[in-house]
Amino acid sequence: MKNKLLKISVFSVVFALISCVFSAAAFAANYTGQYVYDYAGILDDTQYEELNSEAARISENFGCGVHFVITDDTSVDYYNIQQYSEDMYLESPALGYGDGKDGVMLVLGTYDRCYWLLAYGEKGNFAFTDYAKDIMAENFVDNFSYDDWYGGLKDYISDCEYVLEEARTGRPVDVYYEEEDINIGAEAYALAFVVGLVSAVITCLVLRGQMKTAKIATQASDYINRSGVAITNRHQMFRFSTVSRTKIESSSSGGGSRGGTTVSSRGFSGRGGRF
Amino acid sequence: MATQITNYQCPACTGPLHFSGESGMLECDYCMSRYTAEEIEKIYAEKNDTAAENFEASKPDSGNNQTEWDMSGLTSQWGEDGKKMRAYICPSCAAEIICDETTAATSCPYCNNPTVVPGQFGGDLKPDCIIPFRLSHEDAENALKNYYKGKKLLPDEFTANNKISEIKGVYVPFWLFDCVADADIVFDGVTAVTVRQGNYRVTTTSHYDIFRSGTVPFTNIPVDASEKMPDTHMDAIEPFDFSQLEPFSMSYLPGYFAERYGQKPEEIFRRAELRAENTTIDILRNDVMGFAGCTVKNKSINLVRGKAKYALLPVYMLTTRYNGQDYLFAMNGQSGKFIGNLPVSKKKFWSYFLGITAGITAVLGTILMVLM
Repeated sequence: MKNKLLKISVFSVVFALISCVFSAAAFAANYTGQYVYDYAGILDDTQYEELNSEAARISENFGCGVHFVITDDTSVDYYNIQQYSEDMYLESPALGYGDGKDGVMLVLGTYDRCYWLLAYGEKGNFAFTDYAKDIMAENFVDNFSYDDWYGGLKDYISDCEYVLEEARTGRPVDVYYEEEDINIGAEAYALAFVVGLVSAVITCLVLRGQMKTAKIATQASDYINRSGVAITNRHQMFRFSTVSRTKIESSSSGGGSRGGTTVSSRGFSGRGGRF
Repeated sequence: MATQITNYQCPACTGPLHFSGESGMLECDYCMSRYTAEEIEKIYAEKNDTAAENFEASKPDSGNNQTEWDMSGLTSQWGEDGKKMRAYICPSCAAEIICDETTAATSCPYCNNPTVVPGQFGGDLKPDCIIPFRLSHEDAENALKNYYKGKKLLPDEFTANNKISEIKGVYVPFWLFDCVADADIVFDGVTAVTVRQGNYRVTTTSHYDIFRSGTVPFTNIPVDASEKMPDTHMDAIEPFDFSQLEPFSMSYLPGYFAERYGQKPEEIFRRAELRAENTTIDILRNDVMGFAGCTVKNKSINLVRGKAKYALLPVYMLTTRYNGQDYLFAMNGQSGKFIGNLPVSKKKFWSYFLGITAGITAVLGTILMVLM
């Protein structure tokens, strides 16, 4: 009986060890340990290591690959960076998480100073909605436009974590038109009320003015001898000028989208632009 | 008491004559005869002169205190008001007519005959010119009815229970002022140009000193010389067409009320000058073009005073009563322009206010919701 128990214990330990080995093998199959790629060499080793380990941690934590690629390839420009990014993502087994290759990837083309931010897979497209991608792009583009690559990429990775956290709750970062509709409704009726109020005031003042027509005259235009009117001096002199600048608010944030994620036939959703 | 007033009677039947605005002639109410103003003026010239002499003789300071009636008691009882009143004997029925000291034409309250006090227009009090009535009492009544139309805030009871308390055609004394405005004005002109530079809207606002000088002549700016008539009403019935001014004749007065001026030109000319100044500024301002804003910075307006004429202008005065309050209306007896202040129904005012606000909010709000 004692031997039997010992055998069972040994078997259990061996089974557990075997399971661990298989699990590790499976992990190794999905991850190469490299999540970020700096082909342009613009990050130093410390920055690279920090960003890569942060990306690895988030990817593992949420089961969704977080990647970025920096390239100085002169063939990559604003017009083909989407194709370049999608081809790279599909062709590289190191990109994406699990069988579904869920993930998000930011590609920076330093030659044409352009970027493409894509999401792939069920989890990736659920978390990284069009609106979320717009917000993320707003955050990192400022840094890139000042060549603050490290700062921009750090923002990107921390935003990825935030977006994935929100998605995990079942409510991804997005424009919620149910609430928005209420706000729009309130705004529409508030605006209409103001217009109505102003119209009512003007109309009632006009109607009231019709009731009071006995007024002191202040003009004598009916009694001008027109033929005798003579303007004898006309000239003008410039004195000074003032200049004021007003920033034009961008209307692109959340622009036009009705929420959710727009996914292409290849399974990607994305946003791009220049910096 | 020697008669100081004249009844214009029909030469054919001695019936009372009155001036008709429609025909422009004096008409007899009884035999329907018609006479031109010149014809009657000729016939009554002597009578008017006599009446005017009697009027002058009746004045307290004339040195002639011979009156049939002792008015001193009246003065003491009426106080200062008594001094401003006059008593005349109607030549038709011999009744005593008591009226204001400035009354120049009225009607006898007993026999209703139109009467004229020629003495009120004697000497330097005589008007230079007159615009005869062109419109009748009926026109004035109809104008009042039309005036109510389209007045959304007028209380329903006002129109339903409305009765004209009084309607009378009055020749109101006016001074007509001629002047020439010689002006030098500096305006502050502003232009604004907005361009887009990148993500910024850049607005450049430029300020200029704009100089304009000019001369603007004015002819016949009317200012009412009656103390009894409200200035607001007399100003609002303008304009008058002064091309229809006629030399003054008392033949135009029968059938209407008239009074001599109560205010001298030097007391009221400033009103005409202010109007001339305002209009001169507007004319020079309208000459400035190409600026987004234009305001007066400095002005120097020299008014060269010209002739002042004394004229009688035709006005219908109408009175109605509502809720214990009198409402006074006036109509230009030449053009028919009708003015006057009307009561406002608070109920209707707030109904319109809330209705418009709610209606626009509902309709526009829904449209905006659909568009957004």
